[in-house]
Amino acid sequence: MRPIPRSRRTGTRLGLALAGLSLTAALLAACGGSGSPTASANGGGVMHVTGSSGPSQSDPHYPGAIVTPDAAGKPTVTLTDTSDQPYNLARATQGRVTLVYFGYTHCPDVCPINMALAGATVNRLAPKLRDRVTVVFITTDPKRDTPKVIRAWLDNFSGGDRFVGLTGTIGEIHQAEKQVGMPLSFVESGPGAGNSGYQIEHAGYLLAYSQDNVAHLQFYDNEPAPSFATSLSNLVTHGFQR
Amino acid sequence: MITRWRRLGFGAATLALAPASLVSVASAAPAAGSATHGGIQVTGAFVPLPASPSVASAYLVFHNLTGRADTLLSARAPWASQTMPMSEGATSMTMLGPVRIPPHGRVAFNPGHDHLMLQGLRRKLKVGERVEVRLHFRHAGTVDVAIPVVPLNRILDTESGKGAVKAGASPTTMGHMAGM
Repeated sequence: MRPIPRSRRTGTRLGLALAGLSLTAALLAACGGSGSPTASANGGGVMHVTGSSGPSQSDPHYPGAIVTPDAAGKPTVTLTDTSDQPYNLARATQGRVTLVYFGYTHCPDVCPINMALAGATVNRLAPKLRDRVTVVFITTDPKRDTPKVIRAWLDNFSGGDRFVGLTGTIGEIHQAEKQVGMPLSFVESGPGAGNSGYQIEHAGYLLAYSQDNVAHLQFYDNEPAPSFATSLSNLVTHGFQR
Repeated sequence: MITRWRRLGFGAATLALAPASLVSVASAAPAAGSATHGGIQVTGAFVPLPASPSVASAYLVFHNLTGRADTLLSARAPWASQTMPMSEGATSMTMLGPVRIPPHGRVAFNPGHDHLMLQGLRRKLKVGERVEVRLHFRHAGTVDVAIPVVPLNRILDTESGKGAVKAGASPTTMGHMAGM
């Protein structure tokens, strides 16, 4: 059994309900509540929620990945890609191994980490395998993330010029989030909420779809790219196996 | 640097009041992205090249060399309109309040956990340059750090500074400014 990842990584269905708790935990920890002389301000609470079908599992075929028992399908809503063209993820990536991440370009930490991770993972694959993987970034901030902004942002990541970037209306994006079982993103209140500096709460992990168009795996950024590359390589070569 | 100061026999109280000349001696050969002042040492700082033209993050480790807790009250950078310590919580990023640095302890801002968020970037950063961040501590006062900008992929480093120390060819420290 793989160590249970820290709670943020799970980006759970209880995410919204947990938001208040996490704020409290973070503030407590930041004030040195733990008393540890080496205090990361992160509370490090363990909370892993995957839905009704029981806990997620590790699998030796998929190092670093969470194998989800109630895996999500692909979003079927048609969004807009960075060439301003309609993009239906379910149709466009039918039968392909696909990594999907929801985030926003003004996100300073977790989104660039996950996109860098996706790039580093895919770059580790042999070129033949790499060509059989699609990486998709879906913005949770359509107001600021125009197709052009998304494209420029993705292009900064190693291999990111091959990533698909998608936007849509808030309604469409929420629909996509619902369809993959993620908590709905929302604009955070707080300083900056009323101006251009606002932050967005969103799930913080990569969904990894196999050829059956089901996200059997989730990648959380507390695991290294080489592990994910092995997982992805197995997925591309053999399909998802239990 | 810690060892050296201790060998010189400065107590915590003396350190907190150390004049500029002492500080510059102590920081004569600092590692990249590091600074020491008033009993607070900052090491291993780095800024991954921002993917966004608007927002960047800085990662760094704070060491309290004294026997008295200190607190990071705020941070500023001339190249960004807003600088805030942030934490990645259970489901979201939240603003850290004042960050307590325990006596003789350390607090690390690592990718995926805590970071300084710099918003409203006033210019485009370049890999290899150093960017100034001014930190305000309750007791140590103002500590300025010249932080190397490193390739974006370094955001995958889990330990702040692990890679940043390697990043710079000619480390410089900006020393400290007035503001105690």
